[in-house]
Amino acid sequence: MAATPYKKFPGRGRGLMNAATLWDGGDHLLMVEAHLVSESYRRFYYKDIQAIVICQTQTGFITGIVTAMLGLIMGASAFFTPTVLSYLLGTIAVLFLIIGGLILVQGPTCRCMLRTAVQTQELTSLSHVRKALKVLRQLQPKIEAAQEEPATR
Amino acid sequence: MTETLTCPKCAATLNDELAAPGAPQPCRSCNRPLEGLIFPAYHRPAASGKTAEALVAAEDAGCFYHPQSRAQAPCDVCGRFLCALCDVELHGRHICPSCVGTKNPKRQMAELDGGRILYGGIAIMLAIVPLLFFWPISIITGPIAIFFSLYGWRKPRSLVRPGSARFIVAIALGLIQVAVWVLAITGVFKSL
Repeated sequence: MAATPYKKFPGRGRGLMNAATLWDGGDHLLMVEAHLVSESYRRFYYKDIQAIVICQTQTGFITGIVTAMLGLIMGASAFFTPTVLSYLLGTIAVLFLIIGGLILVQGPTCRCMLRTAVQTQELTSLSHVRKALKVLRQLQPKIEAAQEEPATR
Repeated sequence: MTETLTCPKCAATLNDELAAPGAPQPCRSCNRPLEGLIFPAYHRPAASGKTAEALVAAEDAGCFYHPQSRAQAPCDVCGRFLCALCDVELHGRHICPSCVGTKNPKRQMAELDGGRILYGGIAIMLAIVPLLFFWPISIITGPIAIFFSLYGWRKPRSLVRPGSARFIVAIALGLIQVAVWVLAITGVFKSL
């Protein structure tokens, strides 16, 4: 089987049963939505891309804080419960604190929109500002080369 | 240009201005930090569509779909003559709308693929999931996993991850399950 001509961009958008990724196809950006047993593709040719807009959201911050708070509440309640249950609650509390911490460490979340003349598509794989900027830096020279002019702001 | 640039959060118009990546500016409407890039294609006028040229001489070849229009190229897939209106140019190839719609189920043009079934994924699910939740049905799902691996081996694979690992793992797990069931059943018969 021939090797794929696609190179992966950073970032992965995860759902319950699906995941979205972005791939460089040479002259186009390929958005792959992988489901359990199938994949769907969307192509955005570099010459057609008009703009990429990143809008910071507070989803990650709120989720991280709420998860960590739940961990703290469970940790506190572990002190006032019988021994066996306190171990269980303590373990869950530590897990919640770790997950909350990991969410906060990833930095601010965002919605990243790609615009062409006929559509505006959300790039669900770019859910964190840090990753979105990294991909944008990689995409910029490819799009500018395809459109033979530098981007404006 | 069909519409103006808008904020992804509140859909407010951005007046064709965007803060540079790494130095976000708040949206005037929702105050969310915005950044990004506008590319030259945004400022270019939309390209006008092609129009077919009418037949002018009796010896001119007509389009298969529009006999009154002059053909300018044959379809690279089916050979039908195409006018400028029907000629879909794809990476230097000329393809008629019918072939774009009907020939692609055979996956002759990967650039038109809107999706693919991952037979390797089906096979590996059939090989693993029954073991995790209800192992007795592996007597059926093990052989089916092998079947899907062999059936899907030559089918078009993922555009981005076309490897054989899933097929090989599914076949190996399927064979192990079949072997265990054969040994278990022969063992039961021997003990009778």
